Amino acid sequence: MQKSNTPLLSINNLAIDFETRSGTVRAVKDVSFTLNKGEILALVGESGSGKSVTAYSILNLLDKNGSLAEGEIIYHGMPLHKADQQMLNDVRGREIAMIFQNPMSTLNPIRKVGEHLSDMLRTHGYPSWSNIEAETEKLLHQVEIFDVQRVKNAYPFELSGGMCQRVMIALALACRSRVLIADEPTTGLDVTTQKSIMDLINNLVKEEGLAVILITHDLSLASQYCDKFVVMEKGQIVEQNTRDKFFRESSHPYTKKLLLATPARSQSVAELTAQAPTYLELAEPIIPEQPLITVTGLRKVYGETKATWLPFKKTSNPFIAVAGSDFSIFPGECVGLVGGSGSGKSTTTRMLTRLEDPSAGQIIFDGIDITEISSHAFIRHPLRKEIQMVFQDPTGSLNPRHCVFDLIAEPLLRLGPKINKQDLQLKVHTLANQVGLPLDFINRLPHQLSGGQKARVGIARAVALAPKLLILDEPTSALDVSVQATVLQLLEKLRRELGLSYLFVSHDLHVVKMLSQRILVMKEGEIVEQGRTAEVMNHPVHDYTKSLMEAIPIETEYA
Amino acid sequence: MFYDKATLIFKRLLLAIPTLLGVLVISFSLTRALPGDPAVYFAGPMADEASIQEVRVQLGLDRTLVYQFITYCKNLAQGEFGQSLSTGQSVGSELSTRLPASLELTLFGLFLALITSIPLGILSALKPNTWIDHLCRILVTAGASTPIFFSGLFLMFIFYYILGWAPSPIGRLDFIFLSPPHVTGFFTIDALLDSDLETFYAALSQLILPAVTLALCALAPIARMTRSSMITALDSEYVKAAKANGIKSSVRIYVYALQNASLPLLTVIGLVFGFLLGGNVLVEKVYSWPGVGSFAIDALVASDYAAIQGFVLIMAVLFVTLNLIIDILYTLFDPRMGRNE
Amino acid sequence: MNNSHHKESVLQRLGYLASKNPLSLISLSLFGLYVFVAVTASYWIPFDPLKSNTSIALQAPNLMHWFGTDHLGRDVFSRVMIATRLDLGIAFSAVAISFVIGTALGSMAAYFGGWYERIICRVGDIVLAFPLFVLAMGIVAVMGNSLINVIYATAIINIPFYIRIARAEVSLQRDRQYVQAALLSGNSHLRTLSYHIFPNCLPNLVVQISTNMGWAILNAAGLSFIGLGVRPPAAEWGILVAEGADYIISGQWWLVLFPGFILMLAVFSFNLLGDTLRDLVDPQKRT
Repeated sequence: MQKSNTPLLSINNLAIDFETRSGTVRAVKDVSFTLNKGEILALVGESGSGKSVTAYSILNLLDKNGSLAEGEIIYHGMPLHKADQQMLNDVRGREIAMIFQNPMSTLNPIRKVGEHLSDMLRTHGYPSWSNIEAETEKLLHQVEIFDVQRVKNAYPFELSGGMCQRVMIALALACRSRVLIADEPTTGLDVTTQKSIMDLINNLVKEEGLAVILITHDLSLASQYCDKFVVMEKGQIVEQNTRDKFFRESSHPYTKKLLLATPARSQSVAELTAQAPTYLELAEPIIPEQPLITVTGLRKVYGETKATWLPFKKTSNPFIAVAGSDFSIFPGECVGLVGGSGSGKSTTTRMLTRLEDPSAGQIIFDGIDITEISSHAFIRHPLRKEIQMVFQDPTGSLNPRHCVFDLIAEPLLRLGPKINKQDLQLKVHTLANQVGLPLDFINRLPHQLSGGQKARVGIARAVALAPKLLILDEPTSALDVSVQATVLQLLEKLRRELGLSYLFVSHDLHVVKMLSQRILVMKEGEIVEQGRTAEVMNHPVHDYTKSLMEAIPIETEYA
Repeated sequence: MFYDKATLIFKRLLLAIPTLLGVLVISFSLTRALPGDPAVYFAGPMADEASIQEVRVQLGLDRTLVYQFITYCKNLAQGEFGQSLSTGQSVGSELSTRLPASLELTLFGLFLALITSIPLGILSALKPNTWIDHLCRILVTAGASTPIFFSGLFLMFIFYYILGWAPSPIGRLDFIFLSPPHVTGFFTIDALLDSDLETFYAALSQLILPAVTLALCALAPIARMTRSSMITALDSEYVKAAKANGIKSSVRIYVYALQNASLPLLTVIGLVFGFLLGGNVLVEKVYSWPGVGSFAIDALVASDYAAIQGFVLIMAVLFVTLNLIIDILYTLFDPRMGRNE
Repeated sequence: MNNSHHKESVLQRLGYLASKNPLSLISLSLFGLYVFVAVTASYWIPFDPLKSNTSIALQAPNLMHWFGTDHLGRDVFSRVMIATRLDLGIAFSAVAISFVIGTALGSMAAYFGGWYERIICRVGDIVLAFPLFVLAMGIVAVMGNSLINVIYATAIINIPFYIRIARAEVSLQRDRQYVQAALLSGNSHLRTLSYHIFPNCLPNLVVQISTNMGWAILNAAGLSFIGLGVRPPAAEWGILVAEGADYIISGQWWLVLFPGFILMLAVFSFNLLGDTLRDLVDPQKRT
């Protein structure tokens, strides 16, 4: 693709200020980069890096208390930073378009897709009526939606996340925009959907000469599609390079930290940080012959017909969440559980932790059939403390009214032996140390903690009574990549130290590969493949597993 | 989609049935909760033993409670609400003559409330936390805190006694005017239908003060809900995305945001109507308005229990009907309601 | 359990909130004033609220009688002040009853679901099918005119609101992961509901309490205005306005204005109080 010489968009020495109660805060300082036609630029950074703020300022979409303090934004020779409302309305959507994370919530829930598109076309000056219908269909084709009639008349909630994102892209194309700003467009989507959306964007770049700014925290995704890399930390650019130089010659310590922490590039958890973690001194636990937990025929069906005395029959629409799973977990090992949304992963974990009763099947834990005990009775059972869980949402899994001490102490008080105040304090402090949580945080409330700290509290609470089986439900997916690195190392350390078994549920296949010895692949309620991680990932047998492995963004260092 | 909506509407109608049943049970049990023999109450203080016995048989009071309830429902179905002790007429005929008066008042009050509070709420939402917003909120809260009878009396004092703008509060129409030929029962509409502008203005001028009094108490919830749902809609991701796509601000506010905000607003209107029906009673007393409310007050004084029971029932039925209409409108306007929940 | 994070007492937090927001300061002071008057009025009012003296009837406000005198020569100021106890008392008791019953029913309905939820919601819906003032009228008419019946009637018509709010709040919280964490830590369902979930519902419930109290006062006053519930010669704001209603057309405005205004101010301060109370209870607003 021929790249023209004058950049399409250039940002020079940009500085953005925010008015807060404690004064003016400079959120972005001295940011400069350029974007050419037919180029995909990756704007990489973790939370608080200022990447979104920078992108939003291009179209003057900052919140009321944000303002451009210094610098220029030049689009096609026009100074955008000085644009009046008229010019901004012309540029927005027509020349420069934007797509966001959570596509379903960025579409008006009570307007049909076709109406969204016609709104767009009409705003930007499409004159006659008949054109719009044809134009709408053409746009939908362009984003690879072929079931045009259904989609045009559908409301956003009737479509999947991937479809909604395609519609957003169609909106961006509606007026032949030349620049697309994509703010984490695939976060939250399945790996296969992610690949198809990114491929679509890539094709549009190659065929139409679209220029894209891709805001992301996922370096492995960026490495597969992007030509230029800009890394931001704390409001400033720390590294800027083209792809061939980026992976080999990056010098800034933050960039190096990010590169190391990116799961795709490391072989093992230990390599995620610059400093080698301490747990390497601990040996890998030896896996015994007898499994810790054996699951046979585990099945969960929702909405089965119940006998009804109502005159009209209730239509039964049974939803089979889990169709019948068989697997085992051995003491001391980590088993990965992967699958897309709706595959039955969460239902399986809820049944394993006995928060829910299975419709059929058996779970034998440590020789005892725990399916015989109802979920209600299991709360009081001595085995309750042996199966614990670390949750996905660090904010939602901690009671907002309890301080860190109370949160960690809760299982000790409810499930542990009788304990006096002093011993309790000692135990909680030991646990806090074990997970690397500084002691002066012990009286803080969850909203006063960072994401990583919240994750550690969740882990401390879960391992408080050294459960034999720890189920980890996407424990790091909400965390920044560098924080994730340290938390994963913590998990490895605890597993070796305490001899725990893990069931690690994740959609991030690189992480699963690093952490687990064996892996289970689920699709639509069934385990379609299981085996040793290396085997399954390198030589997948089932079609679904194959498509999963193909969809993982692999890092390509060379264009 | 259409078929889904039709089934949903049908289901809503069905769901209203147990509610209506519950309403009937409660209004039935109101009079059965009286201490002593209900027949004595229904027959009245002047009745002798013979007429008490007659009433007893008529209402089935010598039979089981279930039988009494069925009798009660059967009577209702025939429009038989019992005899009013205070007026000597049947309760049913009293209620049907007086109902249009109350409805005219309530609906006009609701209309006035809507045309003031919705724009107020939108204005507040467009400029949140400015002095305009704070002023609106304080005014609206003050309006909500004022007892209806107080604002009614006060308005009457200012506009009738001091300023002399309003006519004297003696009912729906001044003596010199004849009531217009009965079509709907609403004097204003009937006068217009009869092309009688003089009567129309006369009826309207009697209507204004009581309707404004009612409207004042309905202002607050509607304005508050409009404000908060507009703010939620304006802050939502899809409005921000629309802004990024260059959609004009007037379209964003009045089409995107307002449409989404109007859904919770519908529900609040239903709630407000309940306040208005209750407030109706107080306004009718203050302004001597000849509606069902003043009928009920007179009945209370005279311990006319059949009348009280009829009044409570009719108000409940009105309220349930309105809420049903709102539910159906909601179902029609919100496309998400078609889905399996 | 380590409670060292409860460093600040309720009073300290109130003081902090009052200092940050002038509206909080105003509403808290007004509220405090009303409670003070309700408790102590009988000690300092200048005249006996029940003693009539027809020779000084219908006097306009003057230095001796700040709010004037009514048709029986009673001092309006004293009557208005002493009525504070009655009205506030009705409001507090009625709201307390409906809060306890309504939130218990609503939380359990949301948490346990099933038939239990269906029945509770159905009962709540049926009560709400009546315009509330009308239902209160019906209940008091039937049960008899007394103070306690006004309290019961007010409580009954308010219970469905608490059922709805508690149910909505608990439904929201029920799916959050800390609830699962609590169950995994060995808390029974009842304990999880009352100790873990319910406190997180308090902020929104508490706003409802304050608006409800304003409502309860309006309701009680409305009932006595039309002759139900508390009867004269007891001093209650609604009764005072009713007695004055006959005279306002002939120009004796003070009989209606003063009790009505004091009543309105009370309800107003309760309505303003809502947000302050919610900030008091919300852990995220701690210093």
